Amino acid sequence: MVKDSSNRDSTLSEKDWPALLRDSSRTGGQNSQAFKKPVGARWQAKVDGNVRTAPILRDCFLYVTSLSGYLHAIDVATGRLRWKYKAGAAIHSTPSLSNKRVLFGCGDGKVYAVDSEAGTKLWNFTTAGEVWASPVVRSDIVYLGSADGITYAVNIETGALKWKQPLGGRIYSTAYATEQYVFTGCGDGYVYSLNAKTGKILWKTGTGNGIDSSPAVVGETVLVGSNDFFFYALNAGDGSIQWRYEAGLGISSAPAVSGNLVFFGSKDGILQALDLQTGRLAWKTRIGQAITAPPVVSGSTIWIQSGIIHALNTTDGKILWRAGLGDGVQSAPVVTEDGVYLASMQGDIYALA
Amino acid sequence: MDRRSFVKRSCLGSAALFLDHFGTSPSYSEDLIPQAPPIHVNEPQSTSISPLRMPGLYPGRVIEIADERSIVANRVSQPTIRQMLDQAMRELTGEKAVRESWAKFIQPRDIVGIKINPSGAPACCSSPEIVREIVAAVQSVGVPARNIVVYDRYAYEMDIGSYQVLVPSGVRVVGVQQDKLDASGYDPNIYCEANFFGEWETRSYMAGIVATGVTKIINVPTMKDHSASGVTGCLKNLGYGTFNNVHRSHRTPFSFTDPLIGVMCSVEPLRSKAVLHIMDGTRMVWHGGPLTQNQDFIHQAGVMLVGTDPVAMDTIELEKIEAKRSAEGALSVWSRDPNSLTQDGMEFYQDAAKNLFYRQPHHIAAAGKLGLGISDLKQIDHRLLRIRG
Repeated sequence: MVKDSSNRDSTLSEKDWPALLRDSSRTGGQNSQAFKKPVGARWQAKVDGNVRTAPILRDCFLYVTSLSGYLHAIDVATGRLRWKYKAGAAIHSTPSLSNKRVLFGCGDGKVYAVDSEAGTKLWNFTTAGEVWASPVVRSDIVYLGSADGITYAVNIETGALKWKQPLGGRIYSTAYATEQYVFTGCGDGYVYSLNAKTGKILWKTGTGNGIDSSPAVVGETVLVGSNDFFFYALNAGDGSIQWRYEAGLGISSAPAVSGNLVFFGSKDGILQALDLQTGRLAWKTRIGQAITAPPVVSGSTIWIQSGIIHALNTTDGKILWRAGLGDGVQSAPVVTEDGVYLASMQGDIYALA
Repeated sequence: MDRRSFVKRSCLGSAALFLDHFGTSPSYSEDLIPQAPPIHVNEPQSTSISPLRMPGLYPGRVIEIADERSIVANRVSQPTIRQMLDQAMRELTGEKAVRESWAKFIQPRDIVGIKINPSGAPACCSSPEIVREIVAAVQSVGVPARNIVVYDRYAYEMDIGSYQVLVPSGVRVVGVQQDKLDASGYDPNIYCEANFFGEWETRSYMAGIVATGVTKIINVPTMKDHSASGVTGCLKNLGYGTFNNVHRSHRTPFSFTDPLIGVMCSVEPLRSKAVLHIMDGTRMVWHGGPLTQNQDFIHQAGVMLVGTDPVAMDTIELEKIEAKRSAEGALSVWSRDPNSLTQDGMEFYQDAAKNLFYRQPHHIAAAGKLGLGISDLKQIDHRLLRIRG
């Protein structure tokens, strides 16, 4: 049984967006919002370096990492830079927030914890490979995967190692953590379930190629795509395949879940919506360019960045709106009642309202 | 402190390089194409000339190996690739043992760069399955994973191909530039300089990873049609994949890929370091290259070409793509028909009767004239090994 009651930090408000796909439950955006077409940019800012990650939001700050090695804190009211912190190498890791810490992985093999208000380093933890995956926080433990092929569990207060578990390949998949389990994809083509307390491998299920998509968990089902062109629904208890769906090319896009549908993009440029129970196709829409970014769901709208930003209707996949702003194919927007925040590959940050 | 010294040389423009080609190319109207300017090359004076330098140990020899099982339902089979690569390497070198065949090119102390082509990712790029087999072969010779680098110029194209996650642990994956304007990864002292169309920056600089980062290069191009150069194979993947600021050599409808591609490949230390070429023809793009994602123009050919002579290999590639285009009723890559030209990229990507440029397939023969290999089909030792299909 996957116990996954409130996967959200109690100190967060409904407007906060502290991690990839909003929070650790990774179900997407803030529900109950009707689609509102942005009419213009409230502000536009430029960060130092290219951006391959998704911004996150808490209180009045938007946090953005970049390939020049900076974590930026941007005032969401004005777009002005409040502070920036320089890490040791390029950052491909979407940051995550826990209490007053911003956590992110780095090309220098470290995971950094930075004070979210002061912009000063609290601690770092070193691995033997680059860390592109986003650190995931659950019950005061930070879970992270590294290109050195190891999943680590680290104390959130000190950065001290609690356990580590070598897997069979490089890890670029952001883990999904519950109270009891950690699920992650791996470059060896397997999806792993680990004991969250000890790191022991509970099961692993093979796919036909490496996995850089990040899993989501709904009830008893682990949802994840693979570079073997298939999207999988696995039994969270034993890893058995419940269903799989074949896309036209590989899948790096992390899924988002809303209601009875799971959404993901594939590298042939198609955004798909599948029935969560059966894997049957509900709809698919050609977006154009290869999709590697995760979709974000907000109310009845799904947002996806693929060359340009698209907004589609969740029920039928009809394109509602699109704009040639963010060309960051690996970024995902933050969608709130107040507006949409997104990053382009060139390092332009937009607040649309 | 940089103790290297540099020497400047000049290469003649295209007119001088392909004087003897008139009459051999169908529909060839040379007067349509402006004469290329001289290209000045600044390269290290002290580079030791390797006996393995292009055209390498086996000039004119091209091993073509085919197996229909190598790609099924658009998925590449790594076990089949392993068999194909082993057999092709033995045939190329005459060695009985696969390891010995690789040892002719790679020594344990080498830092080995595997130059992939991700520019058509995800629909057609150097297959990770082939890259993984090359990594395993290089490791079998004694090179540790940390001394193997899979690289290309554009990091964001490599990201789309997911190479980071798909190559074995320990191998480095490096994109020289993070965006189109990033010049930080290039050596300011090694360059090709020419003014083609009055552009403000007339130099193209060599990637630092080629200049100083690796000791050997294994080139893994794809088998693709190219809107400007006719085809892209060993030569273009190396030349335009090593130097920056190369897009300036095209301006609709003209392209100076001939002679720039060959000139770039002749620059040291690139020429000495590129010791082996393994062309991925599991997928063949016969129109819309290099970037097409249109599966209608991507043939699952199930082929690889292996050799040390990039000119001979590209000559064979050109023959195969031209034959496929002919079979599909597409325009010849040699066509100089002005009516075929379009400035609408979408039209080009949908219509095999359209060109964006007057293509320059003669860049291959021009590279041969620079000493990089053999382009005369009669002199090419083309060995076809067919495992199945």
